[in-house]
Amino acid sequence: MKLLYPNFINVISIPLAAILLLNLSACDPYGDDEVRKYLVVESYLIAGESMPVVRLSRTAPIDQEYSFEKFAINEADVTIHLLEEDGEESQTSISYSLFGPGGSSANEFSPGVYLPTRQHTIQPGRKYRLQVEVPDFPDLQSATIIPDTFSIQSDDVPESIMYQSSQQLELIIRTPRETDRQNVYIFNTESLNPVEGELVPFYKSAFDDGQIELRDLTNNPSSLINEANFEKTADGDIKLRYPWIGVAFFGPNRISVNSVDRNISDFIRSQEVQLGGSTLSPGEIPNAVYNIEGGIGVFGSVATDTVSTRIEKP
Amino acid sequence: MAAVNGYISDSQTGETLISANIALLEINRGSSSNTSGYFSLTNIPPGTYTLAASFVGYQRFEMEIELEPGQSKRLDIELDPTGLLLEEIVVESDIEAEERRDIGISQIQTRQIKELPAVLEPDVFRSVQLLPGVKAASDFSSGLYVRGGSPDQTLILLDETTVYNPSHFFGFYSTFNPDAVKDVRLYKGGYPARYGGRLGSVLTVYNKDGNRNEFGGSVSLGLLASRVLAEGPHSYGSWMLAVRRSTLEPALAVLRRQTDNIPDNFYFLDINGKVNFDLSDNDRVSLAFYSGMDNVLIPIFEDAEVGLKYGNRTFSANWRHIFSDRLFGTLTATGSYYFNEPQFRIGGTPFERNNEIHDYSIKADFEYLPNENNILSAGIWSGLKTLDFQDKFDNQVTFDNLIESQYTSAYLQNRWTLHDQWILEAGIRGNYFSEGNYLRIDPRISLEHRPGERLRLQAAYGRYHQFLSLITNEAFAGFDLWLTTDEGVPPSYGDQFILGAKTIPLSNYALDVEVYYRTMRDLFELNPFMTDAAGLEYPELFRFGEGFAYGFELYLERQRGDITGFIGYTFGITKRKFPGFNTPVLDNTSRGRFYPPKYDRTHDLNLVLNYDLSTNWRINSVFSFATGQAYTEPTGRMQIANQPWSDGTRDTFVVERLNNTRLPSYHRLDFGVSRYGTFFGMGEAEWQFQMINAYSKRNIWFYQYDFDENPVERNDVTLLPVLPSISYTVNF
Repeated sequence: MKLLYPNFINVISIPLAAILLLNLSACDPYGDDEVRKYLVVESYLIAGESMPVVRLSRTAPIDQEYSFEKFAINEADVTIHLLEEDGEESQTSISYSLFGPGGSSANEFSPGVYLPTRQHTIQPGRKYRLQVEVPDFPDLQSATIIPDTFSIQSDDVPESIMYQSSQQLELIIRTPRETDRQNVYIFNTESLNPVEGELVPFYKSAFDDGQIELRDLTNNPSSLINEANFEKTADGDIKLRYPWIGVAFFGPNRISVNSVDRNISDFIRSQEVQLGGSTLSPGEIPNAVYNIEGGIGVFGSVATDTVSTRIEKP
Repeated sequence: MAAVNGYISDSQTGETLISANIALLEINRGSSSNTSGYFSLTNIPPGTYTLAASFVGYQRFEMEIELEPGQSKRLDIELDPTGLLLEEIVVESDIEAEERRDIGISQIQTRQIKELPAVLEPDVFRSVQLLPGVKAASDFSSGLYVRGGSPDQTLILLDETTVYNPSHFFGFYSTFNPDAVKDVRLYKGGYPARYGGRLGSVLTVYNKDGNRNEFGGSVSLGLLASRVLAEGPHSYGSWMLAVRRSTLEPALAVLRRQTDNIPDNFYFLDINGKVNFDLSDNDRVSLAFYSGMDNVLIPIFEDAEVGLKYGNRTFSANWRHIFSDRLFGTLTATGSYYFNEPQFRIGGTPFERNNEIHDYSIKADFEYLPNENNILSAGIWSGLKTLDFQDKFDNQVTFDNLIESQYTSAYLQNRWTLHDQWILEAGIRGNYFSEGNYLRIDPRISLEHRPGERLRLQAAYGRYHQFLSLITNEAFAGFDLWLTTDEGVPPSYGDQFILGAKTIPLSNYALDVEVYYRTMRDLFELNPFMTDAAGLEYPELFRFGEGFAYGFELYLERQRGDITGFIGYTFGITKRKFPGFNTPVLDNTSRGRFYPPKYDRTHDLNLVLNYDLSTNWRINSVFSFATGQAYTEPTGRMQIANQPWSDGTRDTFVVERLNNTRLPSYHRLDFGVSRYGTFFGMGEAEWQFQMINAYSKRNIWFYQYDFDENPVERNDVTLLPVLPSISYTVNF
């Protein structure tokens, strides 16, 4: 054994030298990245409603304190065009300003929040294009097709329902026509009395554990849910059994059903995996999908309807 | 001409030995036993010869045999185990060292598996992870990342049966009970036409046949799990039964009194069994089964719980028949059932998933020796694979996909000894998968040149196809999901090129060097951005991409003596590309750029040393060093704050390139001490004291970002701390 030990050292010295050489010579060709700034837009067109605000900012370096106001963009030219079926711009263009219709630079304004300069009601099924020009940034543009409006048959919604009873809240959603793309929904339950004493057991337990705050639960939105999850009635309506997980508070609640466009659904489904929870490895963070040229953010559209009911304690 | 053939086995237990060496010294003719422990030497001129047989850990066997013209001599050889504790004096001729050191193959001794310091429980896969070319995703994962491939690119065969779920405890441990295992062999790449169905590699595990001579067994008590093995002879052969079960319940009961969210139910169990029947000198039949599962029920908060139940059951019936000294055949029927049924119930709303695979097959393999220079192998494997994937939300089925596919593969290969210095192995494999009507042909070839007594130069090429994809999360294997090819989802394929050199630099040492390059095309993975499968066509679930890997491996082993062990070093690069993934921020999202997956480690070094202090004490140690894994360092952020349906915000990272930087280097030292003795004179006993991560290096698993802080705060999520472990084993 005494003799073997030096032999062993001799034998391993050659490969160890090779390893050392490789370590010294092998540099990672995929080096660090420099920080770049990008234009960020946020705006949601709601079918049947007036034109929304357009919020403009730029990205913040990851190591800097963030506030929207600090990174707001105030020197942009913003226009939204209504497009014809063939994609050409129609006569309808809405220009935006920090000061709104008839406003002047003498007025107060919210940094980065652009207001439409004239009235226009958003038309379901139509396509709108956003164009933004800002000095020192590439021109930004994006388009959205407004989801069709729909209605929740409110006659079928009971005034009150007992929490976790076998009779779940059922919503009948009437859509005007079929489209090629299945609708994607986000449901939201807004409590009209969001106090601790009204929390349902699951959320109360999470609240007591310090995992969540009351203000986070006042609105309790779902994740994206495809239309195919729901039963279709003979009339072509969608019958939805509202899941109990959506209810955070007993008492009066307002339930909204939001049909979102591709831009919103692409953004949410990609943004939600940035902090894990998907099949990606921990620490593997992809960019979100924006469907925006020249910038990032969300330029999306929504059709929505709301009903109210009261959730009774069992 | 004459011939000699037979089985090579352990004299104490009767276990057949795989890849044992056999040689006729006078005429420089050698061979090695196959996976059934069978050997055959044909076309031998009549005469008197010295027949020698050897195998690591066994005393060399030598006897004189006389062969008459036309004689086919049946010679079953039994080798005496020496135990590695003894310094062996072994004089081997070169031809006797015929041991198949084929390109791309690595082996780990089962004794090594049980002795290496291990996190609470000895583990087959964690031992395999120490081999060059094999990487671990983390301390928490037993998944095998071989030569840049993901775990599903390794075909795992237990007694010739496909195992779909090779892990317990969400990937922490592999399902193979080290007590039951006889042989573990990893075909890292360039594997021969006999195997197929995976892009990268094959891991074959053979369970013990059971002791053919006497009843025996062992009991092991550990901190995480305990094991019982029993084996013995019966009138026509042998049997073996091994049971392993986690024993965490007492610890959980104590913890439950002190803290919330402790699982109500948390165990894993596996049972391995085998019965062998030696029907005649030429016929052996074995029936083997494996059943393993994990069952976990964790309350999260009030009115919320997570239930996980997953596992695998396999069955195989194998008939080995010696048709003649030139023809050996096996016929195997296999069945494999995989299931994974995660369930959540949160606030009165249930979520359920069911993923099942039923795989029933029959296969036949033949080895034919037309002359002394050729070994012709052929086989066919045909079966029916049913894959079911169903999602339920709130008691309603939201996605249901059932794929029933017949598959057939057939191969033909020939190992041709062209000359004393040249061996050519060429083969072809055809694969047919009925769902989608895919027929794929895989050529394989390897060449070995032996310019000197102690040097083998090797080269290999092969094409490989894969019809399955495992959807998993490297951090947590509890939600694993298998999906198959179908119409619109073509099989993945890739080419592998390997160059290697195998040397014996000094007596008792082996030094292997290999260089590889491989491609991966038509990779199909579940689209990570797909949050809801309802209403989608099957191909819409996937993203399709490509990848490549190349690297250099070095393996230096000392097999005998007081100090044994090995150094394994790997320099490896692997990259992936998927459309719409890792694109420049403002670029066309349909494009993509190559990026390193998290498990890519440029340098990976493992040093395993075993030292016999005395006949009663043995020290084992493992030191690992690896380049830090790739991760994404975001460069910017933005916030969405005006959603019309909610007053919440969405903080969003901006990333220039995916996995653009590296975690700090990983290193860890584990060591253990074994004390051998007796259990009140009733049997041999062993205490194991082990220390994992002995100097408590807090290696980083990944960084977690906290948007509640402003600026964003980055927190370390670390891997294993220092962990002591103790176990006691009694062999009877």
